[in-house]
Formats: sequence, C-alpha cells, structure tokens
Amino acid sequence: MFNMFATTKTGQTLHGEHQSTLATLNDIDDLCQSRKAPNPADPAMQARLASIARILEDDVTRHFAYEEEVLFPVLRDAGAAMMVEMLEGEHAIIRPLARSLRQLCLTAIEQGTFPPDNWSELQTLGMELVERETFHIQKEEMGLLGALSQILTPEQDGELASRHPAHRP
Amino acid sequence: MKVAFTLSGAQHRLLHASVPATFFGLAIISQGVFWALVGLSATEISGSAGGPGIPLAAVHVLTLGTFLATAFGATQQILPVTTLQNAPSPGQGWALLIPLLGAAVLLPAGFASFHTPTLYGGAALAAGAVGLYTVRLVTLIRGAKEGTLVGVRHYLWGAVAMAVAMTLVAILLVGDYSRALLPDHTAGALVHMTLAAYGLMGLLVLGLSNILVPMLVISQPPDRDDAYRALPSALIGLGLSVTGLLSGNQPLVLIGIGFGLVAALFHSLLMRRILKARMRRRMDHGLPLMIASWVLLPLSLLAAGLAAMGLRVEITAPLFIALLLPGWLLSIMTGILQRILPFLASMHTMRAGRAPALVTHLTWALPLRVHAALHLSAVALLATGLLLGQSGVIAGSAFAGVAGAIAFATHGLTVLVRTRRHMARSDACPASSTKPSGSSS
Repeated sequence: MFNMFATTKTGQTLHGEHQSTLATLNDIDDLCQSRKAPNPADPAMQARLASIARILEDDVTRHFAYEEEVLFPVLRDAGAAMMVEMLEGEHAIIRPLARSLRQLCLTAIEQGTFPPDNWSELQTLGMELVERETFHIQKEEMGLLGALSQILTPEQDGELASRHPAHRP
Repeated sequence: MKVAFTLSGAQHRLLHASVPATFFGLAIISQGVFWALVGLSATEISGSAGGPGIPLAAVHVLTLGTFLATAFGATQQILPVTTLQNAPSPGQGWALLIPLLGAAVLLPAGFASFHTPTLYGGAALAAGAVGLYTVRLVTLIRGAKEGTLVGVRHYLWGAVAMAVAMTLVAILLVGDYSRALLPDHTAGALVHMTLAAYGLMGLLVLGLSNILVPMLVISQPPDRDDAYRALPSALIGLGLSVTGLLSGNQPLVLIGIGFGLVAALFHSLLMRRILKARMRRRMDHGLPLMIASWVLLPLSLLAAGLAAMGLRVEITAPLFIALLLPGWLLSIMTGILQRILPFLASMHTMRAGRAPALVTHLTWALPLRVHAALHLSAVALLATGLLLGQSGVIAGSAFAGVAGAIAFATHGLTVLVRTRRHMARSDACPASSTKPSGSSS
C-alpha cells in the first residue's frame, strides 16, 4: 500500500524506522510471552537476543537522537513546543527501558543463561517497552509525521532528510 | 520555513475529558437499555410489522443513545487530532450532548407510549442534535489542513448529506402521526432507516475506519484510491434504494442493495488487507468484533434483499434490522470503542515529565472477553429467534445482550477508575508515575 507519509522525505524516513522498530517490538513481545526462560546458550537464541540488543541501540539511540537534535528544534521554531515536549518526555522514559533491556540481553548472551530474576525482569521491562514505544510510535505517526508537510518547505525537508544517518554518505 | 502556522500542541487537540466520557457513557448505558427493551418486547418483535411500540423504542435507544453518541463523541475527538485543528471547547461538547441525551430518552419514550407530545419533543431534540453535529462536522471538514483526511473527506461529506436527508424524513414521519404528510408511512420509515443506518452511520464507519483501524492495529493507512473504492457503490446503492422505496419500485431497491453489497465487499477486503499488514502481530481486544461486523454488514444487506423481494417479510424484515443494528453497527461500534476508551484515557494522563498510563494497565481484559462472547451470542440468538419465530430464544438473546452490556460497562468503569488512580499517584509522587498503575489480566 502507498505510504501516506511519502509527502515528505523526512516523514518517509522516520516512518520506515518506525516499521523496523515495530518489527523488533513484535519479536520482543513474542519472546516475553514465553513462560519459561529461553536458553541463551542456544546459537539461534543468541542471534535473536543480539539482534534485539543491536536494534534497540540503533533504533532508540539513533532515531531519538535524530529527532531531538535535528527535527525537534525545527518543530519548536514552528510553534509546536508542546508536542515536542511531550515526545521528548516519552523519549526520556523509553530510553532507560531500552538500555536496561539491551543490557539484560547482552548479559544473557555473555553468561549463556538467564538467572531467574533477570528473566522475569526482562519480561517486565520488555512488555513495558513494547507498549510505551508502540504508543509513542502511534502518536508520532498520527500527529508528528502528518504535520511535517505543513511545517517543512521542500528545501527544509530535503536538508533535514539528508542529515539523517541513513542518508549520510 | 512556513510561518504563521501554529501547532497548538497535543493537549489542545484533546477534548476536555468529561465530554467524551459522557458521550461514551451514554453509549454504554444505552446498549444495556436496548437489550432490556428487546427482552421486554420479545413476543412483539417476532413477526413485527413495525410501528410505534417497545420494539421501535428499542431501535431508537440504540440508534440515538449508542450509535449517534459514539459517532458524535468519537468524531469530535478524532478529527481535530488527524486534521491538526483545536478540539471543540467543553461548552461546545456539552451543547451537543444535552439535546442528544434528551432525544435518546424522550423519543423512545414517545414511541413506547405513543404519546405524541413526547414524540414531538424527542424528535425536535434529535433534529437539533443532528443539526448541531452536522454544522460541527462541516466546520471540522472545512478546517482540515491540506493533506489530512486522505481517503476520508468524501465519506464525511456524504455523511453530512445523509444526516440532512435523514432528519428531514424523520420530521415528516413524526408529523405524519398527526396529519397525513406521507403517502406511505412504511416506505418513509424504510427510507429513514436506510439513510440513517447505511447512509449516515455507514459512511462514517467506512470513512473513519480508514483512519481508526490502521491506527488501532498499527498498519499503514490505505492510499486515496483504495480508501475511496467502496464509496461510489455505496452512494449509488443508497440513491437507488431510496428512490426505489419512495416510488414503490422493487427492482430498483434490489439493484440498490446489489450496489450496497459491492461496497460492503470492497470495504471488507480493504479492512482485511489492513489487518494482514498490521505491524503489531498480537490480535488485541476488539478485533474479533470488528471482523464479525465485516461479515454482518453483507448479511444484513442479503436479508434486506429477501425482505425487499417480499419473501417471508414477517421474518426477513425484523431479521434484516437485527443483522443491521445490533449486528453490524453495534459490533463495529463496541469493537472500536473498547480500544478508544483506554487509548484516549492514556492520552489524558500525559503530563510534562511524567509517564502516561499504559493502555494495558488501564484495561481489564476479562470483561472484554465476556462482552465479545455474549454480544455475538446475543446477535446469533436474536437472528435464530426471528428465523424460528421463537420469542423464548429472543428473550434469551436479550439476557445475553444485557449481560454483555454490563461486562462492557465494567470495562468502561475500570478505565475510569484506573485513570483516576494513575493521575492521583502521578500528582502525589511524580517519580512513582513510571511504575505500573494497575494490573492487567
């Protein structure tokens, strides 16, 4: 299906990252549904945990950093300070969740096991991260991306999109 | 930079919490009242030829109290967010709620008692509420920023036209009880129902589904062509059916129903694609009801076709109404409403520097599972009772429906209580607001 956010390059880039993040969140959700702790010594599980850890680092760190350092200042100047504050507030809540979850995944890989407390902590953190980030993405998709075509001129859109790490040479 | 455009911020796009709470509260209560009235009139419903009485009162409790209340509450909230406009003020919200509430009480009371002054009062309030809403809707459509309302705008304009036509016919119908304004009252009633249910509500559902379903299941919204695919068939179907009913032209009505089936097919296929492409794989609450509604819509049209052909009208006519109103429309309304309630409540818990309440923490899953099972059972029992002419089975459907409505009301109350608890905790101790505010099960 055609992407309605293709009206701006910036929107399209962010939408693509949201899709990638949501795929990871699905994986985390599936993982956390398991009653029994998985075996991190298993190569397939190691690869899965490593992938989750890597994407959490990329998606949360890189994506959030781009929004906060490049996009949000432009939105603030356009008069959207309240929306920016709300989204930054959510970043501040999601970031430590993602970091802690990432660390649990890396620890499990390193030790080849999930201590009981770590597994239940991962499940709790994982489910909270899935929900908070899903809600955050829903709001950005509905409110932020749709607004970009109203705020950015084509020149600004091109310039902001070019500053995204995915488009830098 | 494009200047002189101020995004007023997410908070200014939210209606004051009391407004959607009361619209949706009215919708939830009316659901239970509807089923209770079905139970009270179980022996009348089977083989009913229509006309004033408790069954007609029940229909109007559902249409005014649940369907219009949900539609009015939801569109006043969703459209400002998606079209980047400020939400109506609390005063504007209340100004719409009060006549609607009055209509939802008086008009059914008038039908049940056939007390014409009550009927006139209820009809006047209903016309006022729909008129006010129409003006509000037109304002929101016209104020929508360019690039918003993709695949929705024309449905909304269609709904505006249907609202006006439906109300005019309703006024004639009510007036016809005192003086002969209509050559055929029954045909007029069928026109009113077509314009109201398939017209106003149908176009709102078809259009807003293009925003709501992708949002709720996290899928890409459809592009303009896909989104509008059902619209021409829907409008042609409505036009032909209404013309056929007014002129007593049965073949025209049947052709109109045929176009309606085409529209229903396009809509169901689109919703299926959106669902298949969803990015959150877990099948959350509300989806079974939405999926059931996409089956019940064409079934209602098939039953309408049988009734239009004059086949066992004493069965097919009430059956068509059952599949249309508590079947299709109530299923889709409750499927979406149960997701909107905690989502909207969570938005209202957003405060600077504090974590909003998680949707799952505001939701108690058990009442929703109970409601879905009981609601679908109620619809199935109602259809079965009508087919077999068994008032006992119809009474059973009412029992299931009331019980389901109580379960749904439990969901609504749970969201309200847990939201307040989260806000109180958040105000008392901001640092603790990142902790879960309740448990979900």
